[in-house]
Amino acid sequence: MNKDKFLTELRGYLSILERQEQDDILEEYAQHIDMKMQKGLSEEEAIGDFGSIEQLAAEILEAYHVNPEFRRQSFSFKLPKLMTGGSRGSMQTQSGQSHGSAQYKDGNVQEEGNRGWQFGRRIKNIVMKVVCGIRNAFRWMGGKCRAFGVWLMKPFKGRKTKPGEDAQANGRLTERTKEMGGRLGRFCRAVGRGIAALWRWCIRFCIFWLKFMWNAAWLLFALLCGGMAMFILMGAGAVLVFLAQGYPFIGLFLICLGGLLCLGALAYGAFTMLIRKEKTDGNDSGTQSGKDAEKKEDARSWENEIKEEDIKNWKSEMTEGYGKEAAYE
Amino acid sequence: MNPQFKKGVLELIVLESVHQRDMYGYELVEEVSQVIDVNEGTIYPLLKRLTNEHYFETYLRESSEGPPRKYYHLTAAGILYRDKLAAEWEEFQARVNRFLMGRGGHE
Repeated sequence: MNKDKFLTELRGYLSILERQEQDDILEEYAQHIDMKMQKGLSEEEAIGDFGSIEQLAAEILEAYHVNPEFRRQSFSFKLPKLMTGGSRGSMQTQSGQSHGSAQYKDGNVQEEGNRGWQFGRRIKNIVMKVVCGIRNAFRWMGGKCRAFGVWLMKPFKGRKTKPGEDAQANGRLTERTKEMGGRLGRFCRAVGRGIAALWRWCIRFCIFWLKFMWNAAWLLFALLCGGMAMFILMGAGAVLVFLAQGYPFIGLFLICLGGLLCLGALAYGAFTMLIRKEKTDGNDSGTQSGKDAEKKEDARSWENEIKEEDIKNWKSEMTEGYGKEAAYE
Repeated sequence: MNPQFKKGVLELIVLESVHQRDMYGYELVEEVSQVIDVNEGTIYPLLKRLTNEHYFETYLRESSEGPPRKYYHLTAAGILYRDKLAAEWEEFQARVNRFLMGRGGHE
């Protein structure tokens, strides 16, 4: 493994931290590797001395009181969140960092950015929190399973190790035990996550229907208001004709105009109450499901794009960084 | 040496090293490696943590070779913390020694 790859991989693990912190940490490691190489070690050897990157990253995150498990569990949710808007994203990051309750972040996961409708969002958050709680329970079970696995493997470890054996072999054995326990734990966690995903899907489905009903009701109301407004407009026209002929209908005409404005405003208001996905999205709730599917497709391709872009950015930035360092020398 | 032993004293050794004079990361790793054999990767997270907890301050200083280096400096809180750890260590090792000696004497 070369330096670039090492740093890119390490950054991947540290993505929960602020960009500046990441740079700070990576800078230190890059310098360390450079110095090692100056002393005559090969790049491979210098990086090999750090041991497992994952473990290293876990230790770094520990310094920030961040749960190292967080990234692996919720990576798939992070990218869609990036799209739903900066303020909420940053708020979550802060809370995640400050009390290490990384799972809390999942509570606010929303697959689409629906703007403007605070109340609905709040309900959604509550539902998501419930789902999150259920998932956490599964995760907890996964963790217990893992611990059980480790415990299960303990006797084997004891039997195989002779008292005279050197410490290194002992360490290796412990690692193996951990790995086996870990596999069981991972399996349990995967099952837990699967069930939780199903749950989430159900909830999403319910939310989709709720939204659909909400939209349909408001659309109906808007159309009703619009229809009445049209009717009153016609009435106003008729009254205007009478007015021109000298009838004392000026009051009636003003009432018609007022009603027209009022109903128009109501219809417009009702239209704004519709939950829309995009600016271009029509008000027709009938096509909503189709739009939903499209949107999800979009989100997925977005995720991939972001991943690729990010990696490219990292690479280019890092190579720039090294360019500068080289210039120093 | 038992890795669990190392982990505990590593913090004390790092604090003591920086207490003597300000050091940059790599220098510190070398210094610590002279005392105990330790995975180099683990020292940086430790430095980060101690900095986050305000026991260390950092500053950049130009170097004749390579890019500017980040030096670590022990703060007043750091000195107190170091003294506390050192006292704990003294007491701990004295107790363990006494226990080991006592056992040796009986046998």
